[in-house]
This record gives sequence, structure tokens and C-alpha cells, in this order.
Amino acid sequence: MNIPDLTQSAMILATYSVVPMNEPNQTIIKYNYSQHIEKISLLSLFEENKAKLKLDDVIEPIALEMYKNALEIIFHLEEQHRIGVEFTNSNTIFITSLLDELDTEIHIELYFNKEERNTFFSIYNGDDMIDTGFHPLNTVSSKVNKLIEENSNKKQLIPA
Amino acid sequence: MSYPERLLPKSNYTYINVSELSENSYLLRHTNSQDIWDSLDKLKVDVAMPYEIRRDFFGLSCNLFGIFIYDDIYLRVTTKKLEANWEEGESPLKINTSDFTTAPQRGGFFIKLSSFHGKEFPFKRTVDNKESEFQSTASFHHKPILCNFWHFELHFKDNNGDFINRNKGNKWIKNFAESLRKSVLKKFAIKEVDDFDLPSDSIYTTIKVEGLKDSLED
Repeated sequence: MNIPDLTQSAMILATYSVVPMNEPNQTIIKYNYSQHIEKISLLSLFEENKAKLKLDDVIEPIALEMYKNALEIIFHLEEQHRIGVEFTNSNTIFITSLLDELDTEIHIELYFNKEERNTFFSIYNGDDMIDTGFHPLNTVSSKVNKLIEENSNKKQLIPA
Repeated sequence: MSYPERLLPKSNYTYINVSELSENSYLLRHTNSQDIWDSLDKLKVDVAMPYEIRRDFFGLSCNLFGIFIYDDIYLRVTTKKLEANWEEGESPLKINTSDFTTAPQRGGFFIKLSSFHGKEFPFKRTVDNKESEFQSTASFHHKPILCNFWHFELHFKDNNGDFINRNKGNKWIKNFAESLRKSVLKKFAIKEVDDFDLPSDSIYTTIKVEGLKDSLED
């Protein structure tokens, strides 16, 4: 659809405002949307679902900041990706990112309780889990980037 | 409605060695809801495995798909003694209509045996800026019960080859178990299976010596 005088961003925002989300705790973000629109939508998803996480006043701003940072890890990847977000009943958000062209899947689970401040992440190449662990969120970013770069290089080395 | 006899162990059945199963074998696990798939076609783990059954993940019950068919997930055995382990040579108990009910609200997901059995999950943890490593290996085990010969369990072993017991672990083992559970189910749970191999008779029945003698004499 192409309507004169409406930018793509405005169109997407308009679409979001009229299309109800069937599953409030699940979403899929199409990778052809512009990045800032993706972030706007996902942050609003946090607002809609934070009650499910049962956060206290101290944890909530930390949780939002961690959530934004986790999205940054995914959105800074140069590869095309699809994202699913699940707000769980156990004080965590589980983010899934599928990088179809690299046959790679990333999982990031954010913990929002007083005992656990590390973040779970795992990366699969095909059916193989190539790395997983509990680390501070800032180190997860560099690990994810390094592994994606390695996978991307491997793919380039495979002759067509 | 009677309980399907094909699910019951017989006295000439033997334990199944998982390594003898075809690579194209699948395990089927029931859930208490049918709304278990997200828009990426990934399992909604919090819905599929709610809090009250999470503790069962290390030892997750599932069923070898084939002779155990999808509709069998709707059967819920209510007589506790029928869920006791079956021992080789033991004759099955009779299952009456009063021993089970149906649970039509259930859903289910599949896991492909070859994509999971024997798979290693290298795990790292950062404490005080130091990384420590922890290795876990996934495996399926045949655990027939009196009402279901096709019952299997999923387990993880640690660096020493010991089964990981989530309930006996410390806090980080519990968190690891929790995240690993979600991660592997997101990754490996499958909605539908188009093509699969049935287990061959020879891997779960004892050789009938008399029949063998007869055929040799012929």
C-alpha cells in the first residue's frame, strides 16, 4: 500500500494503533520495520506486561533499563532477524531472536529478582548450542556479537 | 471408551535402548493447554510448562511417538498404582474405565530424538569476573510404567556423568536449570511431525525361542 504524504514510520505507527494485539505477552517484529519503530513497540510491550513480572519499585527501573539494553544487543546485529518476547511469571523476560540466513538462534533471558543479577544467554547454530551461560548483561553483548561475526564469516567461506 | 491395549507393556517386552531407535524418532509431551505456540511458532514455555510442573523438567515425562499416537495425550490415568514403574517380565494390570479420564483441553509438542539425545550443553558462569565452566549432556531414557510402555524421561548429566537434580542444586544450578529448560524447549519443541519411523519390534521384544526353534527345524 502506498499513500502519498505518509512516511513508512507514520504508516507503521498508524497500523499499530488500529490493529489489536491478540497475544499481549507475545509479539513478532518484522525485520523490515525501521529499528526505532521496533524499539517503540517493544518498550510499550514492557509497559503493558510489567504487572505480570510482579516487580517492586526498586527493581522496575532496573528491569526497564536491562530490557532496553537487551533489545540493543539484538537490534545492533547487522543480520536480518525476527524477534519473539515472552514475559514469564517468574520475574523474567525471555527474548528469542531468529537469524534465518545464518541458521542461528539467540536466547536472552533477563532475571529481575534480588538474588540473580546475571543474564542467561544461549546461541544455537543449527541444532548445536554453541555457547550458553550466566553473565552480566554488558558482557553478553560482546559474546553475542563475536559469535554472530564468527557464524557470518563461516557462512561466507561456504561456496554457493 | 476402553484404554488402548497397544500402550500396555507385555511380558515379552524389554527395555528399549535409546541408541537403537531410528534417528527419525520423536518424543511427544502433553501440555495442559492448546494455546502453546507463539507467532514465531516457538513454544510458549511459561504456558506449556507452568510453575507446578517445572520441577519435572529434569526427568521430563514424554512418550515415544508412533505406537503412542497424538490422541493418546488426552488420556489421563487417575489410579496412582498404574503409574508405577514396569519391570521386565511383568504382566500388565488390567485398566478399567474407572482408572482413567480424558483431558480434551490438552495440547502437545514433539522433540526429535536425534536433535537432542546425547547433545552437550557447555555452560559458563561469571562470578567476580572469573568464568567457570560446567558441562551438561542431555539424554532420553526409557522408563516404562504399568499403564504406558512408551513412557520416556529426559535427563541431564553433569561433568561427572551424574544426573543433575534441580531440587538438590544450589541457587545458580536452579536458575541454570530454569533457563536451560526454557531455552531448549524454545529451540527444540516442534509443532507437527510429517514423517517418522515406528520402533521396530526387535528393539522392544524378546526373541521367541520356541518360534525360533520351529523355524530352524523347518
